[in-house]
Amino acid sequence: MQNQTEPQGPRHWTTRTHRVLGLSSLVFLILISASGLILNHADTLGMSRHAAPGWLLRIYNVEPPPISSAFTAGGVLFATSEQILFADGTELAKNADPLIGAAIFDGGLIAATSNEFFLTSVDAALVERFAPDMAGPMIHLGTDGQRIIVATQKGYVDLDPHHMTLSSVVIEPMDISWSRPVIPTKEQTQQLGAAALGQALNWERVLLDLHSGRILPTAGRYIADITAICLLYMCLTGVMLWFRRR
Amino acid sequence: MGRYQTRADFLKETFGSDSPPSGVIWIDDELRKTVTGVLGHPPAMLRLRYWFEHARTAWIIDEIGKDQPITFGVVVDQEKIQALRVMEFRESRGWEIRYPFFTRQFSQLHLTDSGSLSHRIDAISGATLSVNAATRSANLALVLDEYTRRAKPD
Repeated sequence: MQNQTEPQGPRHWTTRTHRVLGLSSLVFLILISASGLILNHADTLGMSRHAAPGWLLRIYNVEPPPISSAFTAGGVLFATSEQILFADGTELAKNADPLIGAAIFDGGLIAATSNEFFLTSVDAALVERFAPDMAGPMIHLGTDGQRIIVATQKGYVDLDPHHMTLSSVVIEPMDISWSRPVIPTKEQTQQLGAAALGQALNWERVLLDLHSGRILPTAGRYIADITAICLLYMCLTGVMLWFRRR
Repeated sequence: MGRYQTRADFLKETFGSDSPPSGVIWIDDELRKTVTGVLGHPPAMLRLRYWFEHARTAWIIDEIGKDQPITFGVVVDQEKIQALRVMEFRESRGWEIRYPFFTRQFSQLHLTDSGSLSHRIDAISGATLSVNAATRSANLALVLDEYTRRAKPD
C-alpha cells in the first residue's frame, strides 16, 4: 500500500535524493569531520612526532629512503638515514649528519659524525650528545684498545668520553683500529628504511591525506570531491525542503 | 632557521671563558620522573652536562617545538634565571622567540613551590609551540639547578 504522507513530484524527488545522498555520503562525512577535528588539535596531541605504522605506510607505495652511513660497535648497528641516527633500528637522535665511525669504550659505545659524538650505553640508550668545539670536521674514529682516537684535518685527538674533552695525541695511525663502514643486511635495510620513512610520514601527514582524500592516489581526491558536492547539495535541498514545509 | 650562538660563545658570554668547569647529572629514576613532569615527555638522554661558576650554572637544552629540536642556553644565577638564549632554531615557524623582547621575559624568574615558573610567559602569535618549548626549557634549567645544589650542598 502506498504511503499517503509521502510527497509527490519535484518535492518527492528532492526528498529522496536528499535522503539517498545523505545516507551514502554519511561514512565519508564522518571521516572528514572526525579527521578535521583531530587535525585541529594535531599540535596539542603531538601527532607530528608520532610515526605512522608500517602497514599504513605501504599504502603510500613509496621507496624507503637510502641509508647514508652505517657502522657497528659492540654488536649494535648505528646508521643514519634522512638525518636521523638509529641504533639497531630505533631512533637515537634527529638532525644527525652521516657517521664517520663507531667504537666501544669502557662503559658504553660511541658513534661519531663529522661534528658530534653520541655516547650510548651498551644496550644503545643515548647517554649524551656532544658537539666538541673544533676548527674542522672529524674524519675517522678508532681505538687503540684503551683510548678513543679521532682523526681530524689537523692531526689526532684523544677523546675522554667521561668528561667529553679532547686532547691532542701523537700516534702511529697503523696502531689504531679505525672504524669501518658496514653494509647492513637486507632485513636491517628494510627495518631502517621503514623507521626512517615512518619519521618522515607521521600521523599528522597521514590524517591530512585522509582528510583531503589524497591517501588514495586518484580515487581518493574524487571521493572527497563527490562528498563535498553531496554536502553542498544536501545544504541546498535541506533549505528547500524546510521552506516548503513551512 | 639558523644557528645564532655556538656553545663556546654562549659560555664565554656567561662566564667570560669558553671552558668553565663542567659537571654532569645522571638522570636516575627519581629525576627522570621530575624531568618528565616538567617536559611532558621523558628526557632524551641519560645524562645532562652543565657548566658552573660559584652559584651560577649554565644549561644547554634541546627541546622540540613542533617537529625539530630547538637549542636553548639557560643561565641560572642564585636560583633565578639570568638569561635565556635561543642558540639554534630548526623549525620552519616560531623563530621570533629568539628576539630579546621575548627572551627577557625569563629574566629573574624562579621556581614556585609547585615547581613551575614564577611568572606566566606571554605567547607570540604563530609561535605557540616554540614559546612552550622555551618555557619548558627554562623550567627544566631551574629544576636541574636546584637538583645540583641539593646534590652538592655548600
